[in-house]
Parts: sequence; structure tokens; C-alpha cells
Amino acid sequence: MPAPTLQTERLTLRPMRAGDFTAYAALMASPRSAFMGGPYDSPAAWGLFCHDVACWALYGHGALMLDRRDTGETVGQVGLNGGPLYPETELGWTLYDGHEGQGLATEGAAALRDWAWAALPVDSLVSYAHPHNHASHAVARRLGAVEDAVAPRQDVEDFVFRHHRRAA
Amino acid sequence: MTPRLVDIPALETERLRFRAPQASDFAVLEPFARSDRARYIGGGAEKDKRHAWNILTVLAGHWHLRGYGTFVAELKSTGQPIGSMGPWHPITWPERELGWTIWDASVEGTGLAHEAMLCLRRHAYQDLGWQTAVSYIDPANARSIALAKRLGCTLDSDALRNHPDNLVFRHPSPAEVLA
Repeated sequence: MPAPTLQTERLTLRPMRAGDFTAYAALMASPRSAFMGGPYDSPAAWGLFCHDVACWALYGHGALMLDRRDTGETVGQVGLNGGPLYPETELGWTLYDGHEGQGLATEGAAALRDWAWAALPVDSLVSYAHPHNHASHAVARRLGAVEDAVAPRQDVEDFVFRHHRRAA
Repeated sequence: MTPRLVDIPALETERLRFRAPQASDFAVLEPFARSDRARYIGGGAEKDKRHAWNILTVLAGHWHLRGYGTFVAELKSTGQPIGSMGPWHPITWPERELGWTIWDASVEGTGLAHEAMLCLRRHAYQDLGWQTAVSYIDPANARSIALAKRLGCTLDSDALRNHPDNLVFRHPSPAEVLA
């Protein structure tokens, strides 16, 4: 399935392109990537970047970049991750430096989550978060996800939040 | 717009068919990437599943990001995937490469990589319009060096390389290959 383009009030969620790599690699090299297992050097960041794109080809879901509709600026990314490294399909989000605190991650992730309910045969999604990543925990809760203490996880220390499909 | 894997050109040789990487390739790729045979491309027996998966997602993601990429070759006779090969350009590398990796040890020595690369080099020059191409090879990888020479490549000592230890073999020009 080709990656879709989605619109929210303030954001356009659009397919990734090679030109996104510079900013993505800068994020992955920065301390902000610590909650994602970073920092990562450029070749490692390229691997992660390709993973985010490749999920669309391999599984029919993957990551989209978040562009502000008013300025066109790319402010972050949301993604639906899968593959042998993930116990189940994960909804993830990340914001570039300077764009936190405005609800953009919640807005973008909600749109991709709702796309997943319409397009994918899943009844729930999970979000993995580092135990100290309080900002991410808050996003998960704003999205209506609830902590799942027994869900399998790659890292035993991670928190797992579960999003449940609800009747429209 | 995002290139789609369905747009991948249909290429084949006498014994091989080339197609997009797919999730099921991991069953063949993973044992290779986590074996000593993968030591020339950064793999090895000590590597984990994440390392192997990263190889497949880099191959698949590249197609979307660049609009061309590395194919998975499968045997026409059985459908078995035997390796990944073709034109690509990981963003951290100095120039575009023609690469080949045989995952399935049982087909080594049968000339399949040579057969594949003649076709895929022609694809890079004719369809993609490349004006030159290199292959980066570990100096201890005698089998790949032999193939590069058989393909008419010459050592380019001045070229930038993707890894400080690698050799750079430069392929004959489009004019020589397409003549």
C-alpha cells in the first residue's frame, strides 16, 4: 500500500522523502534520541529512516512526516511500526526540537491511529515508551491509551500503552 | 510523489528473475546476515536479529526514497530468493554503487552473480542513465574481487569510499557496456 497523505487542523501528514533525512539524522544524533535508544551516527540513522519508509512496502503501514499547514515546516514524524522486532503493531511519534508543548504529536498520532482503524485489520495498537519519557506518556494518555502491564515488549523497562479500537 | 514498489521494472536473465524486496525474504536473509559468510558486509555470527532486519528495511526503504534500488534475485526454476543485487546509493555513501550479495551459499560458483550483474549494470546505465558506477569491496573478499574483475572493473585508488578499508572498483563506462 502506498503511504497516504492525511490532513488535520494544523498538520499535513505526508510520505517521507530523501530530503527529510538531514533533519531526521540531526534528531537521531542529538540527546533527544536518548529515549529511542540513541544517539545514532549517520549510517545508523539511515537504517532507521529506511525502516520507517520500508514498513509501507513490507506491511502496508509505516511512518509519515508532520508538516505544519501554516508554515510548511516539518515538525516531526508519526509512524506505525511492524516487523520481527516488534511484538505487535506500534504507534509512535516524535517531534523535532522546538515544536513540543503545542499538542502536535497528539494531533498527528490521532490522525494516523484513526487511519489504522480504517485501513488495518487490528483491534488495538501499542505505544512503547521509555519509563522516563514523561512527555510521551502524556501524549499516550491524551490519545486515550491505557497502560498495559502485561504486554510483551522489546525492552523490559519500557512502558506499554494500549490503544483500543472504539465504535465510531 | 512516493515511488511505489509496484513500479519496479520487470527484469530477468536466463536463470534469474528480479523483484522488490518483500517481508518473506527475511527467512533467507537472516541466516545469511548472522553467519560468517556475511563478514564482508558487516555481518557475522555475533550479530542479532535487529542487524539482519536492518539490511532488509534499508533495501526496501531505498526504493521509495530514490525511485530505484537493489533487487532480490530469485531462481526462475524454483522461486527461491538467492541474494540482493543492483544499483543503489545509501545516503551516507560518496557515490552510487552496483552491489551484489549472495545469501544462499549453495548457488556460489554457478555464475549467477555474474549473470545478474551484467543485466543490472545495463539497467543502471540504460534505464537509470548512470554515467559511471563503482562497487565497494572488502579487500579480503576474494570472490567478489574476482567477479568485479570478470565484469571488467578496474581498481580506482583515488575514489572516495564508503568504508576506509574497502577497495573501490570502477565499472566500464556506459559506452563500453552498451556498445
